[in-house]
Amino acid sequence: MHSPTTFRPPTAAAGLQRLIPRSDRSLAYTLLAPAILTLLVILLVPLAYNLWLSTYQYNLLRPRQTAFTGLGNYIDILTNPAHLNALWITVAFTAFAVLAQTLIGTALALLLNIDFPGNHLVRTLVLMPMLISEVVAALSWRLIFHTEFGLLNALLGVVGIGPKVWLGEDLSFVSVLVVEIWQHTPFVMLIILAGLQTIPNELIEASRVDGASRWQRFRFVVLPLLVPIILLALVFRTMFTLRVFTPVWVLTSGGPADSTLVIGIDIYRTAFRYYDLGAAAALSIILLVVTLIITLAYMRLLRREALS
Amino acid sequence: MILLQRLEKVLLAVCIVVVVAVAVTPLAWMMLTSLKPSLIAVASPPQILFTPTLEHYIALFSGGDAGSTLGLAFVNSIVVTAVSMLLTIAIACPAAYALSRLRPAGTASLTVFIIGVRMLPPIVLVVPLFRFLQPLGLNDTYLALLVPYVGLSIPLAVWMLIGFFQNLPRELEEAAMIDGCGRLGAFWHVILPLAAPGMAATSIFTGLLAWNDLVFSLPLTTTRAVTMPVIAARMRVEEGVLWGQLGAVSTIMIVPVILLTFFVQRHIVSGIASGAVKG
Amino acid sequence: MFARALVAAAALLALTAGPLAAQTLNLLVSAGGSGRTFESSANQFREQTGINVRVIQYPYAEVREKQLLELVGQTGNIDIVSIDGSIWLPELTPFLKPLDDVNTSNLIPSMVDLFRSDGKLLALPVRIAGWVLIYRKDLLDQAGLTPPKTWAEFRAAATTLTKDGVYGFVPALKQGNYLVVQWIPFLFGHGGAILTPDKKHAAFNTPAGLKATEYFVGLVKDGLVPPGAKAYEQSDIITAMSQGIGAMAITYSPYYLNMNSAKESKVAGKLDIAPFLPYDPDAGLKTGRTLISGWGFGVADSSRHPDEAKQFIQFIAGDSEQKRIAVDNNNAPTSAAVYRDPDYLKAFPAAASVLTALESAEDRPLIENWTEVEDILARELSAAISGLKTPQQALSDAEKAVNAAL
Repeated sequence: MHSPTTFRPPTAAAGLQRLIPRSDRSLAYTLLAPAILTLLVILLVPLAYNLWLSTYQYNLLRPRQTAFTGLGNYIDILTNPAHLNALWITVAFTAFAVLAQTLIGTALALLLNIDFPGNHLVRTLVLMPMLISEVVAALSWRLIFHTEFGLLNALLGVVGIGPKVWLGEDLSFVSVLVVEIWQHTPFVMLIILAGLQTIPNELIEASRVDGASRWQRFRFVVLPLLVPIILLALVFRTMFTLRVFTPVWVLTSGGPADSTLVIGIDIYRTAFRYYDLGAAAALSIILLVVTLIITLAYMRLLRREALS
Repeated sequence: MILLQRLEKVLLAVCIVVVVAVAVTPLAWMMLTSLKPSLIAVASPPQILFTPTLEHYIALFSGGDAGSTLGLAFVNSIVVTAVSMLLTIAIACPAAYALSRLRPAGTASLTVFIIGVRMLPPIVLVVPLFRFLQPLGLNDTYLALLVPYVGLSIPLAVWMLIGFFQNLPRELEEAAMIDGCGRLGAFWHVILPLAAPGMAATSIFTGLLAWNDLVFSLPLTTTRAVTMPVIAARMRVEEGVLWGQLGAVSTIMIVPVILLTFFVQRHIVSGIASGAVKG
Repeated sequence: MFARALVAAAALLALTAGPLAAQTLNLLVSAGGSGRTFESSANQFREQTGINVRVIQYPYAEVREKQLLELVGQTGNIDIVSIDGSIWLPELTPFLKPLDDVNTSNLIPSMVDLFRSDGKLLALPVRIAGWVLIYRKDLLDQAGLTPPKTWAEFRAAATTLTKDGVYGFVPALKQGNYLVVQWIPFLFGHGGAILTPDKKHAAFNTPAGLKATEYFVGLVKDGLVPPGAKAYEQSDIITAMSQGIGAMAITYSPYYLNMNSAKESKVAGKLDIAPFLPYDPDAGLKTGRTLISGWGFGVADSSRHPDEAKQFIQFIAGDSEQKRIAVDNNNAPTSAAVYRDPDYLKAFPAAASVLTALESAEDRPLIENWTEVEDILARELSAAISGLKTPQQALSDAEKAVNAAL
């Protein structure tokens, strides 16, 4: 109940201030309480519920056959080649997507950091992919990728390249990857663009006076200052890409022959097609652990960068 | 030298055109489809020149269940998005202030906790949320959506705001405290106004989540609390995707966001710059 | 300002959290043709009885997901349960009120049987259609062909018709539910079966199953289908036929109406239906068999208005409403009388022969974890179609996985 009172007009706040503990420590915990409580209730309770669920054989359709299995669900998953394959596809997908987003995002940020007429409008347009919902974005791309009626094959036809089956067995992984990169590169660009603004102009001016070439200025002045920011963007994109679901579901549903079956789809299928909530919970805990490991590795890198 | 500079300008222009084309084409194509007659919405070869029609917009606003729900969904989306943004800021700001300025014991682990819970895949929250909200009669209400949106937004918001508060000079609030403001007074009168751009930048991410989410809105709403993405999802019918109407819904959904982005874009960039990035 | 916003939010919540109106029944249905049809029935029902039925349309997969969550939670938010034939019935059985006292003599028996479980009637069929061969009459006539009766004729016709940007056959082969459904008429039409009669083992890895699968994959490999068909969803069949790049399709009969609609189709008026699917005379079959699938409605056991729900279901399965929605909304009728009705025959001349086909129809096996079996088959068929496995390998792998799942 303390936090809403902090937003009262000053007279009331002054009156109430006597009631609030003076010491900064208790004030700190008071201020933190709403956030911590919200997170506990909204995220930690479901997390605990999932942890508990993951140790049970529990199918929504057969609630009476619920039984404790301990690590049974985990063992089943980690010994099942289909699930392991999904895990592997997810990691590969994430690695490619995040790498491409970082490279393209950095290049875009450098490009749009240049002051040119219409820059404001161009930035807004380039941000468009991240502003639209994932379902709409993926459906738009289905319209682009359609072999017979799609825009992409029509454009390629103009320059004399024959039609390709973009969502067939040869290209589906790459096509889905393109959509993921297209939609989320703007986020990376935005973060890096913000990073570029924090680099003091004097530094760049000084290196210019020293006669550094443009490439040298980027390589030895700008890039080192950008590294922590790039890592930051990486952490976020990795976290979100590891659980990718919508573009894959809309474009390929995991096919052909499970070649784009990422863990997000695996969880969805297990939970909402088979209603096997125990196994779905175990799968999501495994995904959480993988995410945590990768993120911690980044964080360590980030800290090392910050220190050096 | 002048020639080189000119060449550079041309090269820059070409780059920009290509980038914008790639970013915009898929959505522009979808929006264009909303103006095509059904017969050529999907055709071989794809039609670029055609007589535009408003039939899909008319169908959308007049047609049965989807039509009567559209207005409701639009209002719902705006309310849910706005309230999510406000609640997130109201909860995240004090927390971020405490973590950045007061730094109580356990700050590091609390920070890790707050960020860490965000790693849980949202889809696994759906069933527990449904089951917890059900006995309270809260499914298909705004609260059913606000709970996950605010919960998922707090970590990012706290994180960005921590960096933001750290960058504000301590002297400012110390001066205010010496003037007899008290810490809370200083927070309210000095820090919050200065943090406004940071809060705006943070809110954009909350807003995008709430505006576009389907993971929660689809299972947790039925009739009263449906949002725009649910309407868009309903355009995938048995006989296929109603491309024209989907294009129309998408256009209605994205235009406000683009306009807003155009006007606050500068603040987003500077907000992130002074917040998360520096922190 | 924040406090005020919170108060406003709370007020809004209070406004929206009120209980549902007493006389409103809720029904989730798959969006599209079905949704529009049931909505018009709900309007009729309201006019006649004053009872409000709210028809809420969602995409197919989400109807299943949402409906089950509500029913398992005993929320009472769903009064009328929509059931996709035998696929959804097993999982929904525990949540349905039996309808044994309902008179079903006006309905086609094979359709009523779809909704029986352990001898109990759990739902009434309201929109059921058979699978048919839809073909371009103009193209077949030009080539001097009649609609193929056997698989050999079908392949020959597809080969002849594949030219000038037109493909002989349009299937939907994206990995998923429809790919399996698309393959089943080929399997049955070669004398194969999906499961053994006791439903405990896979039965498709047989010479007949292999022949069917090799035939199916062969059509793709030999270029008799559009190259993009590997990524088609079922709706792409409608698009491809409507845009005139396909000559034949084996699919759900109501799609004929989309393909033949002047508003959506470039080939309107040039299509026709052959009600019997091709068959393999070598397998001892004498005639093509059809598959039926579609919607039935049941009463939720957690409904607070079971009597009104039952009344609505009986209304919509009744002869007069079945006729009205068949003529006005192109619904696929479940009442036998409609198939002989002159008004319906005018709108749908092939109706009489469809009825004959429907009476001998069959459907997928009734098992609770059909979705799991379906996903396994989808994966393996997809592998066979993309050439990653031979049909034999794919069937063997599918057999192993299906047996493990059962």
